[in-house]
Amino acid sequence: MNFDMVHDVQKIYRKLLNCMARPGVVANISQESNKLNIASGLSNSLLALTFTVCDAEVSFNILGEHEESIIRKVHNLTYAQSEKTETADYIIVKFLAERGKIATAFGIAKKGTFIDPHTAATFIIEVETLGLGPSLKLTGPGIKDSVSVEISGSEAWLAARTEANAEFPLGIDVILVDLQGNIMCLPRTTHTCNLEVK
Amino acid sequence: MGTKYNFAFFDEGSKREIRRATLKAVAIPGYQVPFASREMPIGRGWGTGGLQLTLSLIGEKEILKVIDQGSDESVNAVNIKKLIVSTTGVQTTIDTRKATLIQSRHRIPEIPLNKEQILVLQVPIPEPLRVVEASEHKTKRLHSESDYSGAWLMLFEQIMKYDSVTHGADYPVIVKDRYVMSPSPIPRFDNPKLNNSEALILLGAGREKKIYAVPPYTKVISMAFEDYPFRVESFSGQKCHLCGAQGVYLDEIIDEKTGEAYYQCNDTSNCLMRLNGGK
Repeated sequence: MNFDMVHDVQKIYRKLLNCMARPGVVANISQESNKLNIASGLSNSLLALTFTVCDAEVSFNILGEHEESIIRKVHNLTYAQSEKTETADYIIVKFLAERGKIATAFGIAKKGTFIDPHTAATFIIEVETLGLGPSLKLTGPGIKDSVSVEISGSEAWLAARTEANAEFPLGIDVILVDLQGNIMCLPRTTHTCNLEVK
Repeated sequence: MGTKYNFAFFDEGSKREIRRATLKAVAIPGYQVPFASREMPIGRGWGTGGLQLTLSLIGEKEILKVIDQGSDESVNAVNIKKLIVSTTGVQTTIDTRKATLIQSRHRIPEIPLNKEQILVLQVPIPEPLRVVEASEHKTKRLHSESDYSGAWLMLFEQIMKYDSVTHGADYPVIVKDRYVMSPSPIPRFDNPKLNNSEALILLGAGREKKIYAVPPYTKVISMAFEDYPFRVESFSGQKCHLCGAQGVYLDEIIDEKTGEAYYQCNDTSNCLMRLNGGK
C-alpha cells in the first residue's frame, strides 16, 4: 500500500502534536512511514516527518552524510527551499551526522526574536533509540510533575540545546525520531536534567 | 461522501500551514502565532479560526462534537458540524465523554476533559491588550517585553469605578508566568479549567489570523490583585430547573408572564446526561 499524503500525514501529525504537547510521550509512526518507498537518502520516518511539515513555504537544511544529493532530492519532493543552518526553518539531522556538528548547529540556528519567537528553527533529529528510561528527567508544560526518558547520543548536544533555550521565549524546538520510528518531542519549554553520572 | 472537495475541505498546503503554526503555538504556551488564515465558506468572526484548526486536526476515525455557548444544537454549532461532516464523513456526538475532538464557541464543557481529547476554542479577539492599545505593532512589542501594565491598569480602573472587575467573559489569564492571554469569551466560571488541563487546548482566531495554545499541565492563572482576588460567577442557592444541577454554569431565564427568573444548565449535553441518569 502506498503512503497516503492526506490520511497518513494526518495520523503522523496528530501523533506529533500529541508528543509536542506532552514532552516525554513516545509515539510510533512506522506503520504510516513504512509505506513510503522513495529513495531519498532519508529514512522513512525522517522523510514522513518532512512531508508532514515541509513545503514551498519553508526552508530546510540537512546534517549528515551525502548532504548535497539528499538536499536536492528533498527539495524536489517537497519544494521546500534549501538554506544554510543559520537561516533554515527546519534542520533535519540524520542518524550518522557528526555529533559535534549537531551541537554547533544548535548554536547558530534561528532562535526567533522576542517579537516573533515563532520564527525559530525546529530540529528533527534521528537517534538510535529513544524511550522511557532512567537517564534524563524532563519537566515543563505538558508534563505532569516529571518524566524520565532515554535518548541515545543526546549527551553530545543536550548542553547546546539548553544554552539555545536559555532565554524563553527564544529557543529551538526538537522533534526526535529513532530507527524504529518512535518519536518524542522536546519543545523549548522542556527542562532537562541528567540523572545518571557517566 | 459525494463531495468534490479534498478530505477536510482544505488542500494539503493549507493544512500544513495551520499545523506548523499549531506546533509552534504548543511550544510557546500563550503566545499568538500568526498564520495564513484561509478564506472559509462561513463569515469571518463566526468561528473560522476554530474551524481551520479542526479541519487541520481531523482524521477519518474522529468523533466530533461542536458546541456553541454550551449548546450542541444552536445555529453556529450545527452549521460548522455540517460543513465538517460533509467534507470528512466523520462521526459526531453530543456526548462530551465520547468526543475525541471538541470545537467550542465560548464554553469549556462541564465534564472534565481527558488526555485523549483536544479542545478547540473559537476566538473573536485574540489580543488581550487590544482594548488598551490599538496598534498590533505595539502590542507585539508589549508582549515581547512582558509589559502588561496596561492590562493591570485596565483591571485597576474597573475596580476604581465599579469596585469589582467587570469582565464577564474573556477574562485575561497569565500562561506559564509569561504571556498574558485572552482565553476567548468563555465565562470566568471556565477560567480555572484552563489551569493544569488534562486535554490540549487550542485557540484559533481566523479573522485576526492567530493560533495559540495551552498545553496540558500548564499553569494558567487569572489576573487579579491580592485584595481583589479572582472570582467566578456565583449561582449560590440556584439550581437547574430541569436536572437540578448545582455548581455548574447556569443561564438565567426570565419567565415572560410572571417576570420571575429561573435557571437552566448552560451545557445542554451535561444536562441531558443527568436527566438520563448519567448515561
